[in-house]
This record gives sequence, C-alpha cells and structure tokens, in this order.
Amino acid sequence: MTVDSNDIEEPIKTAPPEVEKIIREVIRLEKEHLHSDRPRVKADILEIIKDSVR
Amino acid sequence: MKLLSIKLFNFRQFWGEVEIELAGRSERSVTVIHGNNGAGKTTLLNAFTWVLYGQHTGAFASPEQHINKRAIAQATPGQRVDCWAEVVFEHNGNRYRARRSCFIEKPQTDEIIVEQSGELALQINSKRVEPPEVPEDKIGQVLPESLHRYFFFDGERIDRIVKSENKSEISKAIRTLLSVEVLDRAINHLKEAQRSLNKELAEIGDPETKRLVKEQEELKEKQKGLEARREEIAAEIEAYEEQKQTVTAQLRELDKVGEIQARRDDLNRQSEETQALLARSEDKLRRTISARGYMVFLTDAIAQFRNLANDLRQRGELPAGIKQQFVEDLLEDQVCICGSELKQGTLERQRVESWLDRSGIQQVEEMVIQMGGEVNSIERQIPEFWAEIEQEQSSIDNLKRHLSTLLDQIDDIREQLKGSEDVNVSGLEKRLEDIEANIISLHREDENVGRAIVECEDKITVLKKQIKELKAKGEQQALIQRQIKATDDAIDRIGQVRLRVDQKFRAVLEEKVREIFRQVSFKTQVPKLTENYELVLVETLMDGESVVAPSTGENQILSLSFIGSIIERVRYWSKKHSLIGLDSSSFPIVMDSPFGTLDENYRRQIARLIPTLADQLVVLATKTQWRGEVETEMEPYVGKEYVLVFNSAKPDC
Repeated sequence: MTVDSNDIEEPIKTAPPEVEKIIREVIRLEKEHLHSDRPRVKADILEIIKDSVR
Repeated sequence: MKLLSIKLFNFRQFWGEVEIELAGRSERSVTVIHGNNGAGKTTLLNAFTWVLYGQHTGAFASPEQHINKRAIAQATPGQRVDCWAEVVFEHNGNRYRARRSCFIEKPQTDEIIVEQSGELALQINSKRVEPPEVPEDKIGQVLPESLHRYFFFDGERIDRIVKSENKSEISKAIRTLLSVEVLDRAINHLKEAQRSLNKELAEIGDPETKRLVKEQEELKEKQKGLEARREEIAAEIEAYEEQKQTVTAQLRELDKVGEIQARRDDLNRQSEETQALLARSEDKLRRTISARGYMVFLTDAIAQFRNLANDLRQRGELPAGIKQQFVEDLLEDQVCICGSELKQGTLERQRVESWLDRSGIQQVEEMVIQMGGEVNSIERQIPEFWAEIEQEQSSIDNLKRHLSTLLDQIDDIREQLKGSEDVNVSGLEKRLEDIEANIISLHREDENVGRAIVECEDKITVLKKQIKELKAKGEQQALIQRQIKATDDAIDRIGQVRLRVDQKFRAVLEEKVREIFRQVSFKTQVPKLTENYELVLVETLMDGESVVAPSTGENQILSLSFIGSIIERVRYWSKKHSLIGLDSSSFPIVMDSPFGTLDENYRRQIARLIPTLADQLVVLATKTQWRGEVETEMEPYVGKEYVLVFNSAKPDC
C-alpha cells in the first residue's frame, strides 16, 4: 500500500478536535515513558480519553 | 543533550577532584583528551555511563570498584571514603547536574571492602529531583538508556553494534530513534484503554451488548495470546538459526568433513537461489494469469459480437452512409442539397428529418469499428498469452527439477555425515538435522498462528460493527460509545502515521547510512535497513540482493555510518515533526580509542565525517590513535584539548 507521506503527521492534524487531543496527549505520555520497558500508563490513557470526550 | 562538564572525585585513577570542561561551540565542538594507556581514558568514558545510567562498557575492568586506591590507603581505619562523578549538561534550555556517588568505611582489618550505594542525585536548574519523581526517569527522558551505547562507546568494540547477535537490540534502537516505538506503544496502550471502556459499557449495557462485548473481549484476549506466541516463535527461530550457524561452522572446521560441508554450503546457496528464482517465476505466472487470463474466456463473446456486427451489415444499417451532423446542418440552414427549402411543417423537411434516426446509427458504427480493433487485438494476444504461460510453466518445472536434484544431493550429504564413523561428525550432523526440523516446524506454526490472528481480526471487525449498530441506551452508554469511537479513530490515525514513518523515515535513514558508508568504504556492498529495522550489508548480484558477512573493519565503518546518520536524521525529524519526534535533537558522541583497528584511509574518512555529523564530540585517544590523518582532519573542529598525566608511585617512573 502506498500513501502520500509528504506530511507524516497529516492524519493527526486532520483528526476531529477530541481525537487529535487524545493522540497528542497519548504520544506525549508515551514519550515521557520511553525509557521504561514496561510503563504503567493505562490509567493515565483512560483519563486522557475521558477528559477529551465528555 | 549538550554536555558541559564532567567532574570526578576519587574516581578510579583520579585522586581528589578533577574537572574537565567540554567544548560546545557549534564550529569548535570537539574535545580531545589525550592519554597513554592506563591514564584514565576508558575510566572517563565509564564515568559518563556510570553517572547517567549506572552502566559500564565492556573494556572497564572490575566494574564494582570505583573508589581511588590512594584515597583508601590514606584514610584511617573506620574513616569514610567518598567517591563521585558529576556530569553537567543542557537539554531543551534546562541545566541538568547529575551526580552518582558511592563510599566505603575503611575496615579495621584487611577484610574485603564492598562499596556502598551508587545512588544518583539530579538537579534540574539547581532544583533537586525529589520523590515521587525519579532521577533515572528524568535522564531517560533526555536520552533513553537503551540508546546510550550508540553515543558513549569504545571505538575498538564499535563493530559489535551491528553484529548479527545484536540485531534485535539495534532494531529496537532504530525503532526508538525513529519514533516507531512511541507509536506502537501508543497504539497498544490505547487498545488496552479501549478494552476497559468496553468492559464499562458491558456493565451498564443491555444483555445483547454485554454478550457481544464479552465475545469481542474473549477474541481480543485470544488474539493477544496468539501475537505473543508469534513473537516467541520469531525469537525461537532466531535462536535456532544461530545454533545452526554455530554447528555448521563447527562442521566446516573439522578436517575430515570440511570439504563436504563447503560443498553443502554451496548446494544450500544454490538451493536458496533456485528457490528465489522459482518464487519469482511463480509470481510472474500468477501476475500474467491475473492480468490477461480473462482473454481465453472471451472466445464466445467475440463470436457473438461478430454475429451482431454482420447482422447489422446484412440489414444495410452499417455502414451508416450519412452523418448525423450533416442532417442537422441542413435542417438548421433550412435548405436541402437539392435546393429545396426545408421550412417547418413542409413535407421536404419531414423527409430530411426522418434521416436523423437513421444517421444515429453512426455512433454504433464507430463503436463497432473500435470494438472490432480491440477484439482483433485480444485474439492476437491469446496465443501469445498461452506461449508465455507455457514458457513460464516449463521454467517452473525445470527449476523444480533442479531444486529437487539439489535437495537430493543435500540429503545425500546429510546421510553421509550422519553415518560417519567419527562420533563428532555424526553427532553434529544429527544436531543440525534436529535444529532444521525445529525451524521448519516453527515456521509452520507461525503460518498457522498468523492465519488464526487474521481470523480473530475478521471476527472482531464483525462484532465491532454489530456493537456499533446497537442503539445506545442512556446518556452514559452513549458517552462511553463516543469515547470508544474516538479511541478507535485515534488508533487508526496513529496507525496511518506509523505507516508513513515506516515508508518515509526508513527509506531516508537507509539512504543516509548508504551515503555515509559510500563516502568511507570503497567496497560495492551497501547497507540496508530491513522491514524489521535490522541493519545488514548487502551486495547486488545478477539475480538479486544477497546479505554479506562483513569483516570487523567493515562492521566498524557500518556502525559509525549508522550512528552518524541517525544523529543527522533524528536531528532533522525532531525539528520538523515536533509531535512524534524525539525531544532531543542534539546528540553528543563520546568515543574512546577512536576508529579501532581501521587502516589509514578509513580513519581519515571517518575522522573527516564524524565532527560534521555529531553536534558535539569527545575523543579519548592515545598519541598513536590521534596523530596523523585523524589530527589533520579533526583539528579545525577542536575547541578544547586535555592531556591526562598519570602520577605513578613507582620511584623510577
């Protein structure tokens, strides 16, 4: 499958606001925990989703 | 990450306090630290890795001992002797001061001394990191521990980075640096969160929703288990492949059978090549049939078309003989070619108008001509198609026969070696046979597991649709469904980004590694990043690419090319893609004994390249490693230079 990959982050930028918020916050969280092999982020991610979609 | 200074106190050879400030100006970012053997170069490299990650490099002897012997000797029994190392660096405008320390209390007798602690203390902008925050986490966020070995390394051992036994490690490092790891984790964790939301929905939902959600959860659990098994299988196959290589190498080294093993290696190579050709031929056959196979079924339709056209001709409807446009022009001008007037309501006009219907057949005529051409072309192509199919089929038959002969010969060798009177030989051969049987069985299991995963995915998709279709009951249920839907969308979009990263970043990184490798190496081999992000060296042959086993020198060049290109590319991506890129866009390199055992030409090329690629470079070198071409190439970038002097207690030293 080929995609127009000129703008790699395009699928994020074109997302509905609540989805974009989830993606941005989840990626920020994952980056913060990148050094850890088994990060415990499940609860935080659930909170991000619930905060973003009210 | 920009290193500012390193300070040592009673650390290994360094008695008392020693501070080294590091060069950091962009045009003069190289610090050279000269020292003879034993002066403390490897110690300095290890001071960096110990402070930041509590790790040591392979060349660091007795890693459990950090405290300076003279400091211990000078202390009185019962007195505490401290040792620490401190690294100061900048990251994203913040100043980090990391200090790891340990101590002993000098015993009264000659008992063995065990160092205490080894704790890391961290200040960010002069503010100490206190619990619940963990200093190691903060350092890991600047440069993850798994990546440190690519930036703080021993030049003599640099070739190990790309050796086959480390390929999963390097694959993980590349995935981390290219943000693939972050995206994969985000997808997995969002899926986990989605499962929790589904459970919530099931608890408040109607019985039908509950049942479907439960079924979906069970399938997801099953899928997760299957995926885990697939990873295990891959690891098991990798381990068996390594064992296979070891056993094959052992057989090759045995005097009596070395030649037979060499013959088998050759046969195996031929068999792999034949299998590749066979796969290519089968693929070509498939593509030919799917692109043009329909033609052979068109014979009846072609005959039907010709009958229709002939009928029209026999009825005199073809050729049309008169053009519709011509009749329309006459009616517009209201004058016939015979000079009669064609006014509305006249008989003449009605007669001419009746030609309009007949002239409409002109479009049919054009279509018949066009289709006639296409039909003729198809008819011509049918024999060509059969000829191609036959040729490909015969080529496949030949290849299969050849492969079968090769496999028979390989089997003969196996029987010959298994029957050897030498127990070493027969034992090794039996072992090899078992390993190969295990590999085949694992591949089969992998295929089955792969199919089962796809089945699960399909069922989950159907269930998802059914759950969506169920009308949400109550506000809370609707909200959870919206959250599930948004999560689904987020997973899908991150997946799309992942695909783009995979397609673009991997290709660009591979190109950069190739570019750097080409600048340094004179060989025709080129580096390649596989789909699994493994770095290999390949050679392009007449019949495709083949992975080659590089020498130590080539591995050193490959490793340095990889590190250089990673720094350059990650710096670029981090600036351009602020969301998914790493927070660090600036990386230092600290290298001990640079360029290992490379010869003069390679040393020059690498020495020329590295300062231009790394944002900051600390080189720890002996006189012989530095002088000559390395010094000439790096000198313009040197910002600070130090000499380590070892004060020996020996009187005649």
